[in-house]
Amino acid sequence: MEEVPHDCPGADSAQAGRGASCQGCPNQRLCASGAGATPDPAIEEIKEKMKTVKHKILVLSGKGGVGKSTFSAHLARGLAEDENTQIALLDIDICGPSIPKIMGLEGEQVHQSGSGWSPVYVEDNLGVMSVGFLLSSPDDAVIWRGPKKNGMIKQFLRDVDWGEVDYLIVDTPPGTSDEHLSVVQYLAAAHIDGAVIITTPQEVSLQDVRKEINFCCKVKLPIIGVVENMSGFICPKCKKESQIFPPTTGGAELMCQDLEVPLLGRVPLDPLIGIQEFCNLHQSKEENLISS
Amino acid sequence: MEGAAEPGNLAGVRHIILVLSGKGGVGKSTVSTELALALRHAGKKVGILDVDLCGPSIPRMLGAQGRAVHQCDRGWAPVFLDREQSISLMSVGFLLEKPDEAVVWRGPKKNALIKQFVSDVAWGELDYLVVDTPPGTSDEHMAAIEALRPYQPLGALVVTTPQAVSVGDVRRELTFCRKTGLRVMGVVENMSGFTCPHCAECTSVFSRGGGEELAQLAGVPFLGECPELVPGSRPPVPSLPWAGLTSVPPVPEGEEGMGAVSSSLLGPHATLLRPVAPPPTPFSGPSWVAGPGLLGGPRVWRWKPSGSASVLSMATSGSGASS
Repeated sequence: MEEVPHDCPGADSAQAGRGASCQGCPNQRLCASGAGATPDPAIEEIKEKMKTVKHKILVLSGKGGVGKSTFSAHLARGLAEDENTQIALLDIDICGPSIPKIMGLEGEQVHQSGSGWSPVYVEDNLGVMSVGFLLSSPDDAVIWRGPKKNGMIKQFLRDVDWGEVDYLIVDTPPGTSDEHLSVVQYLAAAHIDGAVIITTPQEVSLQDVRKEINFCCKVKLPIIGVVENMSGFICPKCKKESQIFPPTTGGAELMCQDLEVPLLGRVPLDPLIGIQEFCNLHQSKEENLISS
Repeated sequence: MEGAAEPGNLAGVRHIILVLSGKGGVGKSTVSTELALALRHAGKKVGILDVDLCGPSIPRMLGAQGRAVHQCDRGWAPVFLDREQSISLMSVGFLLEKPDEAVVWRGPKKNALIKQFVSDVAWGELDYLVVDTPPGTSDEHMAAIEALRPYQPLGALVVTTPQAVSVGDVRRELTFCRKTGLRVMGVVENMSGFTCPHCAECTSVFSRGGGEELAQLAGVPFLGECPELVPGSRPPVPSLPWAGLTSVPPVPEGEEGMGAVSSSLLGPHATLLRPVAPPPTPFSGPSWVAGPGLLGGPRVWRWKPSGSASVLSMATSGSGASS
């Protein structure tokens, strides 16, 4: 695999701003001046900050709507069941932040302390950060171009006071663009344990997920494995299994065999997950605990 | 329509529709594809512009993987699906050397390519250009709207699925449309339910009602729901031979099929083409009937026209049954 994407030479390349593919790029002049070659000081600051974080896991998928946020939330909650384990869940989907809703934390606000931004704690040992907490209304749209999104991700990594954390789970948006490049770049010095890649069984997802695996190889991000979500549906009436998203090209299993990545498992489609009540279940549970 | 009459730009395109959703995986590409096919079935010349650069799905959905983009004297020639050139496509998927190649670009480079797709592709004379977008409200969307603004797009079809987490993102997309001055032609709710092929019980797999509530909340038309996900295991659409669309399942005649939605665009009661349409009364929006789906398995959508007691169900044999 190439070291850098072969179209854009990369901001820190010797050809930055000078290559044929740079023509027409708005950053051409900046790159040609050599500004792109200077490492971002935030990378070192983030490395320092991440010294208290033992494990960092990215949850990726090239495809949208496969269940990255749902999986991230469930993984965080599952790990947090051990009260001695400190979990942090970071949502870097700036345009479509789903984690607050899934975790039942809508309406929560982020507070600033002397040591930085405080994450929102859904449990004593589970802290969450998302741009969703910074928006004043559920209708607010985050209409930002790449550089501004990158700046927010940098702040999330550098300015949030995570404290001592055993696992930092990072939920990402679909694709292979600014957010993904930025989080890999900013965490490069801090060592990412790896990526869990989510897919659904049908080919239209798998073709995007192969690109995501390709991206991981390009940026040298280890792949922990692939999870096939929405894999089968049990009818609540007759209890027979159907394939809503048929794996006509072999599903994640064949893709993992072809690309030599581990298949971590399959998760079926559960209608309960979709309903608002599920999002509120955890909120209710906490309220019950408080009131009891 | 405005725009300089330069060769290769959109001067010959009569109507432009963007298919948007804040949420990923709700069926934007599927809706774009089926809308284009239905419009073609209604005798229109249609183009599909796929500006999802990281996850281009349009080539596969129309069995056009592996096709190449060629230069012509007016710029880039779009990929035609048939000799009649009734459907033309442009996607970054056609520009990749390998199908699994990742497009790992930051915003500025994506913006530049989208502008090229608009200005340098020889779209020619089209009745409709359907623009399929990625999820979100970011570079691709802003670049597409900026590039298309001189050509006065008709508006946006906003796609959602019923559950709260989708509706939450799509609300933001509706705000994006408002802020960018893009008219919302309506909200489409996809994946509304799944009929078990064994016992015919319809389950709301992704909850229910979110699309209608969203449309009501935003004061935009609710165009309808696709009540059924695609069951069964029909093989995917194979690569189309140049000879024609023989591999693509035909869209049924008349008001059935995606023709129902295209009729909203074309027919005598073409509310979607009226410049200012008052929002419909709640829960009176039509549902659709569609022909066989593209992605394997029949796709059954029930047409319930506003105020009508009749229900036109799919006439094709084997509809709704798993294969």
